[in-house]
Amino acid sequence: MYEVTMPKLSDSMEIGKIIRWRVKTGDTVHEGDILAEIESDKATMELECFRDGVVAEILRGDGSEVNVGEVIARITPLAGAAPTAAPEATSGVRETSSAGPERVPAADARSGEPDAGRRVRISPYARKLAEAKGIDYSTIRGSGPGGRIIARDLEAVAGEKAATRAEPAATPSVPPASVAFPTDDLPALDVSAAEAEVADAPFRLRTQARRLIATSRSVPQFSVTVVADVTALRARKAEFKEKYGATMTHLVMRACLIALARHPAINRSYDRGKLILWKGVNLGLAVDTEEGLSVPVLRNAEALSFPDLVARTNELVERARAGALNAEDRKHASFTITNLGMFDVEHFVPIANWPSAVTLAVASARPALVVMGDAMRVSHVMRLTATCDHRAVDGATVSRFLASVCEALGNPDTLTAA
Amino acid sequence: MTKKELMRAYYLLRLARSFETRVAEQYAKGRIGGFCHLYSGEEAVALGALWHLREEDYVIGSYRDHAYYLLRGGDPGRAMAELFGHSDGCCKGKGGSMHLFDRQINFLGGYAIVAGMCPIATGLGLAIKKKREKRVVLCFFGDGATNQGVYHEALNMASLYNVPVVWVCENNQYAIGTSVSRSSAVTSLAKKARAYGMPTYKADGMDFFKMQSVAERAIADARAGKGPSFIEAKCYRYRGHSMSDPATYRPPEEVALWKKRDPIPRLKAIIQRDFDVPDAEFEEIDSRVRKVLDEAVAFAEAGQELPPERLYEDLYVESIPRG
Amino acid sequence: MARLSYRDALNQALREEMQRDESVIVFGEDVALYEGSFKVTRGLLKEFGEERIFDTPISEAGLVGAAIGLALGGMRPVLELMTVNFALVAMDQIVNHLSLMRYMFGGQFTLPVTIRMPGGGGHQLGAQHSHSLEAFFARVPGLIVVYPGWPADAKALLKAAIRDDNPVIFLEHEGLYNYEEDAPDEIEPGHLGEARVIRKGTDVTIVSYGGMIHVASQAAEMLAADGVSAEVVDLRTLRPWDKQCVASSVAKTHRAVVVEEGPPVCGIAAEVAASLCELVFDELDAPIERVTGADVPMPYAKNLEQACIPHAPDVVRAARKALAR
Repeated sequence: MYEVTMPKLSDSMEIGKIIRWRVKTGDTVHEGDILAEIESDKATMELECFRDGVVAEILRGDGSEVNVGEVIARITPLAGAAPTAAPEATSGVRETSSAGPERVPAADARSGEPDAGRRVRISPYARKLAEAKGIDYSTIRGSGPGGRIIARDLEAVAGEKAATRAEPAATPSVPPASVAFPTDDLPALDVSAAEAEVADAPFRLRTQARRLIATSRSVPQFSVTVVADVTALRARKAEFKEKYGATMTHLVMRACLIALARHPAINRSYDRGKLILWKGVNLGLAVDTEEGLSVPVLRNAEALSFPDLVARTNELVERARAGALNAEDRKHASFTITNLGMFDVEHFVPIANWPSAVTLAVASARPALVVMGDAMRVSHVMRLTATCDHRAVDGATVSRFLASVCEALGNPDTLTAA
Repeated sequence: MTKKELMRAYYLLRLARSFETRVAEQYAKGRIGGFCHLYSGEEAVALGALWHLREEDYVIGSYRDHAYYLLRGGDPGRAMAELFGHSDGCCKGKGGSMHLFDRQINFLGGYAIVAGMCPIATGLGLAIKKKREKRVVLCFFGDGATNQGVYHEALNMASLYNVPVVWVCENNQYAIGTSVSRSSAVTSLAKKARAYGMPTYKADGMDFFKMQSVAERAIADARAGKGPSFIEAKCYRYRGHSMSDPATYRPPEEVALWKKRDPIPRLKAIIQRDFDVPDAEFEEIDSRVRKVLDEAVAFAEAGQELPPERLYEDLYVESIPRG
Repeated sequence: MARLSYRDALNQALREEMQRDESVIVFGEDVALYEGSFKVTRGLLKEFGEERIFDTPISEAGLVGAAIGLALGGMRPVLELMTVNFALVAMDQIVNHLSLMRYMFGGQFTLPVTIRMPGGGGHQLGAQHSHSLEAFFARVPGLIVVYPGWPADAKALLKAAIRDDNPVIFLEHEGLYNYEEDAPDEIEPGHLGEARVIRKGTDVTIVSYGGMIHVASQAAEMLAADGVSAEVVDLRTLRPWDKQCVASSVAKTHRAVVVEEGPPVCGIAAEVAASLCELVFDELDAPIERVTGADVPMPYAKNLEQACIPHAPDVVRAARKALAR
């Protein structure tokens, strides 16, 4: 059976109207005969017969409006006329080719900034310099057109000549087209003035955001939790406090340093195909300040005696809280500790603080019923959760390290030894 | 001509005619897109002009090019596939109906810009001369092209440089809907060409014999170094200018009149008169044509378009990166 | 080494390529007997004869078409259009045939055509004779567009253009034909698509080509006297243009000024500026400055005409703006 379909008579035609059939059911028709008059979007055309045969059925009558491609009649081919195999489900159907994959506009944190009428105008290059140097440019007055902050304005602030010499390009050829800092992919939050006040996030928060987004995208993280028995330690806590001015944080730091000495494979970082094998332990410590989270770094902490450790840590924390940290203070933490125990937190999983291969979360020491042999007793336990960069370390190494940490914590005297 | 040759001519006329009908059918089904210009009725012009060409000769013509391609020896499947936009079309689907081209058979293209290929034909003639070759160029165009500026530049230079180009004007008397009398101050197109100092011929484009006879002379002269000549072949296109043209500007009586002069039954009558060939032999050819075209359509249907990743191929010869 | 003029450089390139390859054919209006309206083809008829270099009627469209036919038929044509202004008459053949035939016909042949066109203004030749049309050609896929500004480059790049199997639009600046520089006696074919840093600097990148590269160079001298170190990049090829070279320079200097003789809208400078934004946005200390011809047809009166064309002080001004000093 040969199907006559509403023909496509012009490039733009989608619907045709059958003006008048010139044949009826039962008529014998030949190739070249005119079957009907069809009106397209452009003109009235004749529908040609392409097959010798007998009209078997007329499905749509005079005056019908039919979509292009719909069957409007059927013809029984005459014997001897070779039918064309015309399976519709072939790739012969003309497709409109799209222009290519849809381009999703990269949401730029800058473009998502709410315009509170107080936008800082800064050239892209100056902004990049500021962030690299850790300069908060929101207070700088720009000398460029319209008050724009430009590179030389940062020179003045940093007190050193901004690199107008050849800046090493990221690669020998053209720097990559995309932004230096990753931004998030979330849709813009459309808030009305009635429901919320929108303010610029402080520079530090924006920097932190970029850093954390980059970390979460690039570092494959896994976490391991152990439960340390700190009963013995807790018993000596008051004593250590009086003698050394030590807190639980200092003691945990020391325990980690002892364990790191035994497991140097933990004290390393992964950076773009390279393993950074740190010569000393740069111990990052998460500090809560008025402005938010700060992570100062105690350089070469492994070389410090316990009293020095306490003193240097306190000094660092004080400077952090005073906002007096410099770039050196924040750089290259090879191991990081974050302690929320003082808030009575039972357990938490930190985000990796790259470049630290291990970031250790310290929770509060709590009483617990512990089974020992046949008896139960009240112990004090502390959950330690290590979030790890799986490119630099694996679960087994970390577990062994954590066991050492627990062991050190279980032997308080080793912590304060020189 | 021998019976064998004549039957071959009949086969080719039939092939060209039926191919266009198949194209109309496929276009109506939406398998062929864009502009589509059918040659139905003019087959004798192309066949007659091409009949005496040698393999090494160049053929170039307008967008109404399916018959040029087929009659030059092109493969119907590759033509149909090209119309479908598929990668195994003669131009990988990048040309479409108006831009068939096949280097292997020296068919150097269909062109959409009216008369745009005329100076190219002159250039080809120049190349032949520079290389001291014995080739001839056949350039097909319509009556409308004879009013385009660059057509005159091409003919002038062809004469000036005495190049071996045969200019074949398919005077089907209409440029879309404008007749020759409404568009050309001088309605004898041969006369306009004569102004450039070349010999001109008038031929009955609906008669294969007459057409090939005239062309034979023009081609031989060109090959002998006598320079360009012009053939005005009066003919008629049965269908509209393109698939979307109902050709209401032509009275039906006129169409009917020209259909009476259809080259195919005419040739058949002559063959039967001279060689007493029974109808069955012609029907056998018709059947063979149908089969060839069935296969062509099937070949086209089985193919697919080039993937978008291959979009930039064939743009530059690789000495230059794509910027 | 010897003094080489832009004109002689082109002449030598044509001669050497014609000597090297028999299929190289030169043609155009008044190129043979008259030796070219700018005398670039001097001596070629005498040396090679009419078989290799011939005069044509005034038929630019026909000539470009003939060049295509010659190439399709196996020759390597070098067509001279008397000026770029007359190329407009042939735009259909250039854009609708030459540039796209290879692609449209599925890569079945190459068209090794070179079309030479002098262009540019500044000699009171009036609006119809003073166009800079490189932007028109540079936006056409399938063409290669070259515009040398120095004699040695002109020779090297014309040789390369002739040898290249792609269609090349080879632009020359009418005002440069007498310009001379010291150049080696032997010059190899250059690399199409490659820019050249003609002056190293650190504070701002000035990008230009063709006639304007000299304006850019002068501007750099003036800036140096004021303590500003400008790096000057000569594009040399406009399609495809050397994005890598220019972007690397701007990544280093953080400021860019692009100089072109043609009018501003949709010009070469617009393309360079947009691309630099895409490639080195974070390195930019200032928006990219464009110094272009005025957005009017070129008037005849001398003072008005000069006001239409960029001069070195204009470029200096733009550089200062980028530096905000």
